[in-house]
Amino acid sequence: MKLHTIKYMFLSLCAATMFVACDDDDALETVETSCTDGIMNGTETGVDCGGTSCAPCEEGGGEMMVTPPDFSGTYAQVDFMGRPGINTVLSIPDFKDSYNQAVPSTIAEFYQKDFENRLEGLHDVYAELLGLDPEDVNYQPNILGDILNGPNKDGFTDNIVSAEVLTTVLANDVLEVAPDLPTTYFNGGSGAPNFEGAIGFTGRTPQDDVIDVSLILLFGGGDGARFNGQEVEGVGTFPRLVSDGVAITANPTDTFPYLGSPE
Amino acid sequence: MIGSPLGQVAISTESALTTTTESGISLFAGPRQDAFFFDFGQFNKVIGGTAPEGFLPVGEAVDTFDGANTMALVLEIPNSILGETTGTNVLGLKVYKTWVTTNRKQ
Repeated sequence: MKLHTIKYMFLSLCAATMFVACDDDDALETVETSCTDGIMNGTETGVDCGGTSCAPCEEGGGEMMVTPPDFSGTYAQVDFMGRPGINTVLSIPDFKDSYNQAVPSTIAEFYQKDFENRLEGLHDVYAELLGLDPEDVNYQPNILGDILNGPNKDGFTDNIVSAEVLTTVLANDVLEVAPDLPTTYFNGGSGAPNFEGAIGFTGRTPQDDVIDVSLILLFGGGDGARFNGQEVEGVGTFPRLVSDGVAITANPTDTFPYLGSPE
Repeated sequence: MIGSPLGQVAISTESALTTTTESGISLFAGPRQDAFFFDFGQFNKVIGGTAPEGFLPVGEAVDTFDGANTMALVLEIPNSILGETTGTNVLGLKVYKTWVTTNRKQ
């Protein structure tokens, strides 16, 4: 992937609260500060004044003086994110709030069964749309089993990634980051059936198609393309569930902070 | 990290204001392009049972987040600060396990 040597945490939140007070720490190095741009930036303590680069602010600079943020008090967790998309795809309104207030070390214990039920429920939706018995259309072990055990020519009996195993992995909802390996959410290598060179769950770059990876693990079966819009004799057209059909349109860069300038 | 901040950075507007601390931590806060891409509208139809065809083909599918910006916090932390890996992933690779929470003052 593009960021082999750079491991980073990518945080995207609805609102950002950061330190905006002036600081005397010489270790801080702020770039692109302008003392004439009409906004308070860099080390400025008022608009275009103060800090290490600009002229001092006038005495009692009124409303432009910055009060350091007050982080005292009690904070309560209201949102949780590990792997991108998992909370969105597998949690349901009934437990979304409690999921968002959960602690990673206990999250799998509480939500694995809900995830498994959700996974089977989504298969039931399409069983009914295809006119099939929901009892007959269930999750099938996915490509992770082939990668772990090698391809199984005789079907799925040796594939260890059952619905319970998969949802246990997904309900341990943390983003795994491997410091010594290429960063990728998932790369299937040579693809089915051998998946030579496959690597995954070593991090996530903005370019990674995390939704398609999740869909392939949930609906792709042993070859990753089980529900892919294909015609199936005697049944009809299978739904397309292993890709949402969209690719990245933003322009991440290869230098910090990696996300492109706002549009 | 309350009580032990990694560092400080001014909030950016159009251009990126970044801070790199002596310990090699890079910080950014401000609006950026939302790099996430997902046909969220069709997803809702899929889970609602109103999309017999499932997701749409390339060309018809719509990236709900195309053109969107987001308020972003970006940290880059040297591996040396993080110490040894503490876990393994499903493929048996040594990993750190990371997550993000948003906490609201009561």
